[in-house]
Amino acid sequence: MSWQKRYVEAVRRYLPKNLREDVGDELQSLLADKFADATEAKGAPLDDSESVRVLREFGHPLKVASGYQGHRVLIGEALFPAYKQALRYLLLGLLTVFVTTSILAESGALPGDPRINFFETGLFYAALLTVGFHLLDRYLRQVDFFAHWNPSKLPLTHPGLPAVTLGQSIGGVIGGLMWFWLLAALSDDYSWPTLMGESGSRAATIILWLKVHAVLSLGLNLINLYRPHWTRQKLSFKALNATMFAVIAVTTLMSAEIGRAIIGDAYGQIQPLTWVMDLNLRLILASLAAVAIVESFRTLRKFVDLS
Amino acid sequence: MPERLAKMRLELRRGVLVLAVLAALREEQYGYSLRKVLIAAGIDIEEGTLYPLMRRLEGYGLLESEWRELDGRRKRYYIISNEGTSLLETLAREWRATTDSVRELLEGES
Repeated sequence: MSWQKRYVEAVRRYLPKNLREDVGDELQSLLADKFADATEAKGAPLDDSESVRVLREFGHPLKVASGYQGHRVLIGEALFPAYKQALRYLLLGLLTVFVTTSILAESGALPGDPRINFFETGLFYAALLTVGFHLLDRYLRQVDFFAHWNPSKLPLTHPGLPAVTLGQSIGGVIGGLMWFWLLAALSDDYSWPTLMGESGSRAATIILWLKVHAVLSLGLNLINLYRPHWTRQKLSFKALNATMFAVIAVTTLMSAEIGRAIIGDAYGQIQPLTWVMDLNLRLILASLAAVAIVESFRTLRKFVDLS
Repeated sequence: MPERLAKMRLELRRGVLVLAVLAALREEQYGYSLRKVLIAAGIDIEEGTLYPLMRRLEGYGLLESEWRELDGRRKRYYIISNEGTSLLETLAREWRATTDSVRELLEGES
């Protein structure tokens, strides 16, 4: 097979079916012109190394073939920084879950093996994220989003209340999803009596309230993705949510036997925690409650400032 | 030539390629002869860029093409379409306005 035919075949391989014949024929004709010119200039047929040089000038088959298919990208330049950041936070979140579940599995604190397969899960979620961004990119192009944005819709700013960064929002969304996933793994009870504490399982009630808190936080982070500036409504929502978390933490702390309350009730076969673990857990819960209370007051202070 | 300069030069020229190709195709050409015309005019464009660009312009309805035989070989001839001609006129006006503005800026700096 001649160099020209080999080259045309290589380009054709990367072309879509509807272009293969036509573009292949044209390339064949263009190469014949180019080789004829080079042969005429030399005054003799080209040897192999000269043929290779001529083809190298023409360009790599993959690059030439892609030229015939126009400029196509999976995620456009405008969305790419957000995609990169989301991917980074996703992998960091998964790594955190992987380390946490590994520690829990090693300590035997949870039944079964809750460890996630970091690579499999990571690949799955990364693919999901990529497809999501690709579809969003296509949609934004379709509606010509960036050409039609309205500056008058820009949110008001306040010097003492900086906007939530994209990284914080994305981190919040991914962290919220992970947290919910972990809670869902602990209990799949979503009933009303459980929420109201009438099911007899205190652990299930606490976990369900934590899920409610996680969903509310997730919602706030999703809103912040699109509208990152604080408003009075958002601040009051955040303060309420932080207070809810503090109440959950304090309620758990007040429990006579936290180990039984958190784990034992849900998994009767698990023995109550040792007093050392019980103490550590109480300290952690007390710290979390304190942080939530402080956060709630700080948010309320911002609420007053914004007024 | 430093890589950055080569990239910027490429970017600078990429925008005017369509204009150059449309202008050159006011006279009928086949791919290889068009490249020669462009090189003679001082526009050295890679073949891997030029030939796909011609096909895309044809796809947009700005060029027309047909296969013909010359010296015993089949060649695909291209010529600007009516739609292409009207676009060329608009682009040429834009180009002149832009070059005038840039020339003024450059002369102001020197």
